[in-house]
Amino acid sequence: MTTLFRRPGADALCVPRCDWIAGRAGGRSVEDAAKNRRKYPTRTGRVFMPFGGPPRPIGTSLLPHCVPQDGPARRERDARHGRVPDGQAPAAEYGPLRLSPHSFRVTAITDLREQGVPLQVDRFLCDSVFRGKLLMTTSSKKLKAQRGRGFVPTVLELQDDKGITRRIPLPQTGSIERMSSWKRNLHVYQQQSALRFSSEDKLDEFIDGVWSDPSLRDMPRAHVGDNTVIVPTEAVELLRDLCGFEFVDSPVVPAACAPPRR
Amino acid sequence: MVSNLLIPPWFPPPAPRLADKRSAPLFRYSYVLADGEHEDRTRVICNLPLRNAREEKAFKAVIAFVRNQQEEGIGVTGYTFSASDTFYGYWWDGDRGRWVEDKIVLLMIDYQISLGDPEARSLSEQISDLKEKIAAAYKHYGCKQDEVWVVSNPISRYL
Repeated sequence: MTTLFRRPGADALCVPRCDWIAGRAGGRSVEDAAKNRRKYPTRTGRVFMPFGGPPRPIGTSLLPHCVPQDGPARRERDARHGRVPDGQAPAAEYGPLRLSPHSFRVTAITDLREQGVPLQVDRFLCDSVFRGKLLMTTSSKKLKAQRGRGFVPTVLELQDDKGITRRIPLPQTGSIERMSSWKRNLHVYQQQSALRFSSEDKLDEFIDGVWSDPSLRDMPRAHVGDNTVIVPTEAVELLRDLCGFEFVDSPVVPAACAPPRR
Repeated sequence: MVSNLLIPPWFPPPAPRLADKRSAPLFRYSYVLADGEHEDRTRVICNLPLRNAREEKAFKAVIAFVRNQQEEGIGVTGYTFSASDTFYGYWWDGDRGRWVEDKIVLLMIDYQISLGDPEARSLSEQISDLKEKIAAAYKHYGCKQDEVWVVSNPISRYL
């Protein structure tokens, strides 16, 4: 139940912010309102709401995220718009590449017949072929282990029957950039690895690739000369397998584990 | 005229004996300095901009140069640098009449040579070479800098 009140000097009635959020999020009860109030606290606790409809004050952009991306609401929305949920849709429903970073599931569909090459997935995640088109999802343990570590794959690597490798860049959107959650300090990561490149040009390519990838730009790294850079160990596999960098990695022994000579 | 009542009985504090120098207060550091339990070094601090991939390439070239200096026997046995996106520097651009913001990486190199030593001239040349190398690295990667701040300070390392 929403209680309207009039603020001093205001021409319109106001509602408590918790009730407004509960209404926007689909809440119906006082318990929902209290729950959302804990979830979206504000300094004032109230929001101005004229009769023409609630304005959208700064700081309320969290509201769309109340709706689960893969929950019943999404299924209802898909059915309302005539869409078929992921995993059941024919490939033609989607574009050439599709990313759903909220569920961290990458669905990539390429029309193999248009390319004229019967591609097979070599070493990227798990795959299935649907109506002659390649459907790739990241339901493998490999990407699940990468989930939440600030990495978003940027390149799909495919290999055909002749052994020719093709790299398909994935689109980078603003929503994906938010997935970058690297810690700024390299020493926060307990395990670090030294990546040694064969030449300075290779190292320069690595630097260019890191800066051009929004999900890798903030990855902590330290240059130590000799074409070597130190990165968190959990980034090694990602940089090699998915980004295609060629290097020789070796573990870095932390100072605490070194013999007490100095 | 200052009354004796205003002077506390513990002032001035008694000078510690040489045998008690370990327990001497820190402001009487001259006792420690006189005993030779330190060595004079020179700390060179470079403010290196790091804002994009090209400047990171130049930075790693500078690091490689500093590490190679260890082989020349001029006392470079260590260096320290900050993480990127940690320090923000502002400098006044007189031509344009505005402040210019830089993302700075602080690179500190301790040379085991004192500026007051007879070899200080050679150290000064080494520092000049370092600055020229820094400028050349940034120029090589297409991000020439108007000025790179390189300063040196005499420091004492306590043993």
